[in-house]
Amino acid sequence: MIELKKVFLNIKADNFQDMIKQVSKKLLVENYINNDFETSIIKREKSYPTGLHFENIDVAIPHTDPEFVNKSGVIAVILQDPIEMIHMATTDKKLQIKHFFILLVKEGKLQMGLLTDLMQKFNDKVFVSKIKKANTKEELKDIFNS
Amino acid sequence: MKKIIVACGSGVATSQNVATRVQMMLEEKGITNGYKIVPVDIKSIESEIKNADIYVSLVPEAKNMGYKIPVFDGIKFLTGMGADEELEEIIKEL
Repeated sequence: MIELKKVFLNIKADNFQDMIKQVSKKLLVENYINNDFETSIIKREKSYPTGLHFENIDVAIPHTDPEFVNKSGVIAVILQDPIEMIHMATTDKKLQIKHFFILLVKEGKLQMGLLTDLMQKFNDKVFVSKIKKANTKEELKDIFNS
Repeated sequence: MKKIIVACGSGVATSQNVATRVQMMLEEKGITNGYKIVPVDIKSIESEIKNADIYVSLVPEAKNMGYKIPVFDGIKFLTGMGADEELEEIIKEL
């Protein structure tokens, strides 16, 4: 069971910076992050990319240091069209990604088991086809929460 | 006692997860001692490498750094895909 703190659907973005800019504005208003979050997460993605390839879906799990985060949580961002990202631990393996799960980690470490749960779900063919079909925020939240 | 270090870019999410995963997989195989697995900060990787025997990495270019210890692919443990095979390679070094 994973609680999605916020879900942003059908976002139009040209690239990662564009997506983060849009989402940061909204997260800032609700005090999830501070003013320096946007710059730091974009910078971190360049050095330490977070794209991940699974058999049935490619996702990204961008995150940055706790000093830029005010409230912990998983933020889902689903784009209208995929953007190019780089696979984690590579410099040039390109992925086309629509499904982003921004990990906001306020304390030193991510909540125990959260990442394991998330990874397990992305390996699950049935789960993946459900999230690909989801049309509303509530649907998406329910799928992750079940 | 072999020291296995795991490093990722941020220290908040993936290195702990992979360290736990590798530990669990080794224990499942009945390999319960003779090693310790430690998530480390990528910022101090150069000094950590000096005291380690095995490095499981989640950052780019780790295998091209010319480290004197064997480097393994942490991604396989994070996503689960190819984890068993990678574990066998690690076990050979223990």
